Amino acid sequence: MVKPDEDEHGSGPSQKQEAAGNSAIRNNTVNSKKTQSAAQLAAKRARGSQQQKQNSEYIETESGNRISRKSAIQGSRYIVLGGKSLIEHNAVLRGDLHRPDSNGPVIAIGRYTILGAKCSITPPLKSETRYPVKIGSYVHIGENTSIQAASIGSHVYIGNNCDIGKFAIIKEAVVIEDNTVIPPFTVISSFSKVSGSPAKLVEELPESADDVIELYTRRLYAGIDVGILPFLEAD
Amino acid sequence: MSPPEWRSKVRIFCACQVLQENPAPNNTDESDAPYGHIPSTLMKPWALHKLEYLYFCDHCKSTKCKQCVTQEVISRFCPSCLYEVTESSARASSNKCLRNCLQCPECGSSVVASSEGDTYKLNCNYCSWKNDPKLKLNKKVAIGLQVFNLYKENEGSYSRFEQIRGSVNSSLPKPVTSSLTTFRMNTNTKQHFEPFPEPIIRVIGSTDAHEIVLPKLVELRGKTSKRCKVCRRSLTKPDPRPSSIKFRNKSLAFNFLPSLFIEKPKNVPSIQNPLVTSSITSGQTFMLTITNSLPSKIQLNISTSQSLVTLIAPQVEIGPNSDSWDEESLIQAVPFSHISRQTNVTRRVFMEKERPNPSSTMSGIHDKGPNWVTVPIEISTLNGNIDTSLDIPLFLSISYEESVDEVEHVTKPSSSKLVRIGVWYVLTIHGLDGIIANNPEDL
Ligand SMILES: [Zn+2]
Ligand SMILES: [Zn+2]
Ligand SMILES: [Zn+2]
Ligand SMILES: [Zn+2]
Repeated sequence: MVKPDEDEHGSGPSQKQEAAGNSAIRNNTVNSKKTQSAAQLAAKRARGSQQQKQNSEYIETESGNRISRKSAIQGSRYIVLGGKSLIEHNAVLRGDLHRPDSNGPVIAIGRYTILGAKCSITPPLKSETRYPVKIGSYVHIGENTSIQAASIGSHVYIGNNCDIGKFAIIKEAVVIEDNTVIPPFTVISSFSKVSGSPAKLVEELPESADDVIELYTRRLYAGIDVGILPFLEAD
Repeated sequence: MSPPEWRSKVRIFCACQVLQENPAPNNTDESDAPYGHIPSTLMKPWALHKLEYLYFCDHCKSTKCKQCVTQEVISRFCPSCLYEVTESSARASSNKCLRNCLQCPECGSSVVASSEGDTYKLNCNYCSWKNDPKLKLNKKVAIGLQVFNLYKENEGSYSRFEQIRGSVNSSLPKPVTSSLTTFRMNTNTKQHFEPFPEPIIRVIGSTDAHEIVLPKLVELRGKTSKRCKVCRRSLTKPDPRPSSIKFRNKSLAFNFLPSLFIEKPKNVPSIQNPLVTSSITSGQTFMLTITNSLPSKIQLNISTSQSLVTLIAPQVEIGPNSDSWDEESLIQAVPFSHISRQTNVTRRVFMEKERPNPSSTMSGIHDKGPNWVTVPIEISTLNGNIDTSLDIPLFLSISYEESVDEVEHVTKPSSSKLVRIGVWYVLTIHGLDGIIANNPEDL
């Protein structure tokens, strides 16, 4: 069931999760060139011109990140994207808020992560020092949501207009409903669906949660109209 | 006035309650004849489930819901510090975390402890709650344990203060644990726990009666494995470690049963099928997309008990699900009407797509892909009398070849058997009146 070329054709549920860890992310910065065969490059150039026009809203990087030209990525040197992520217009990534004494990434994002319009990712501040934000793979961040978390695991859905407080830890397979406030330093454990201000556990998610969220983010990246996440659909 | 918003939902019927009421010797004929076999509980909300919430027993070849599985707690952990707790410790602590995890008694958010002299000061991360200075915490003992002991010591005297608490706390929100109770461990473990007192205590050793509000302790959560109640086979078994989301096995309906999706009619004449155009005046044609989740091709026989609905293609064959989640496969796995953002890959898939040939159009199939078909479904409007919502029970009889790879069959590795599954789906369409009203020329 798994295609051999995992990187280009990530296949099956959760196959590559570990590989999307830090070291893998590091090798795929926004500006990095991935090795590509000459034939692939030539084919790409040939198709390039007319697609550039149709696709002009987004820039596609070598590692498949689709980034809105209207997004606000600051300090891209300090941001690493694992590839195949989608960054919508007016999404703000504050890579510029890094530690002056460190060249390490201050925002690290895995693969197939969707950053909705007008969301913001800000490294959290403690005693005048900025700390890194780590976001896993298959993560959906809704419109207008602000993130100051320490970490967000893989297979996580965060709705619109949420506020994820500083140093919060969101584990894997979590759903956060629209308009939720996660207070600072809060830990949300796996298979939780939370809602409200402050966030309360409203449901324990079924065992399908990680697969369903992964499929949802992969489809969103591919341009498929995904509708509402099944765990958020009214009864 | 804007028409009501169009919405649709799909639920799957779990037959467990029916089988319990009148346990048939076997349910083999169920996949053949839906009429006359319409379960009495078909439209009961508790019997209908979203596909993502159902299990599937591959041995019994049937769906399993929360009501027809047995659960077993395989590990217990604190959702805040993520430490695993043994069963006996969980019992001794009334299912609470006794480490340094606390919750605000007012808003339920986590509480942070910071060092202040020879004690800790507690502050809510969300609201302005902080501990009463009379609450002295020893820095050498876990805070959770100290708070737990305070609750225990005050259990007897607590009832006397209930009335005071009632008057003081009446404006407060309900304790956060109320939303948690539904998934406190499972029932057979739960019965060992006594009810936990409210967070108002009398200060120990204090001469005048003085109540202070204690922070709440964090309720432990459990990881559970699920078994089929009928054949006892394991359906899901999670890795017991609190931070892991891995499973040793996971048998979910999501990976077995077809998924259904219904779309509202487009203004363009939907199909070039004489069968349909002849009857379009009596109703609206919707598009039903059925996606196969199995790795083998399936034969589908669809029927409905809803008299307002006509299925144009009641028999279809659907190709296997590739199980590949790369971009191209995912785009091929949906109709083009589901593409909302064009990319290089969507354009390439569109260019390379095989168009359905006229013979398949004649068979009533509107469109198809590697593991899906779109078929028209016609909803009659009963001379203009339209309800706002309509339930459409659909019986799907699914048959497919399953390879038999048991040890006895080593000599015949390619042997396979025919499997038949019968499942009721209930499609609900809301805002039907809005659609009909919007397309008066179609009526
Ligand atoms: Zn059931
Ligand atoms: Zn704890
Ligand atoms: Zn509080
Ligand atoms: Zn079974």
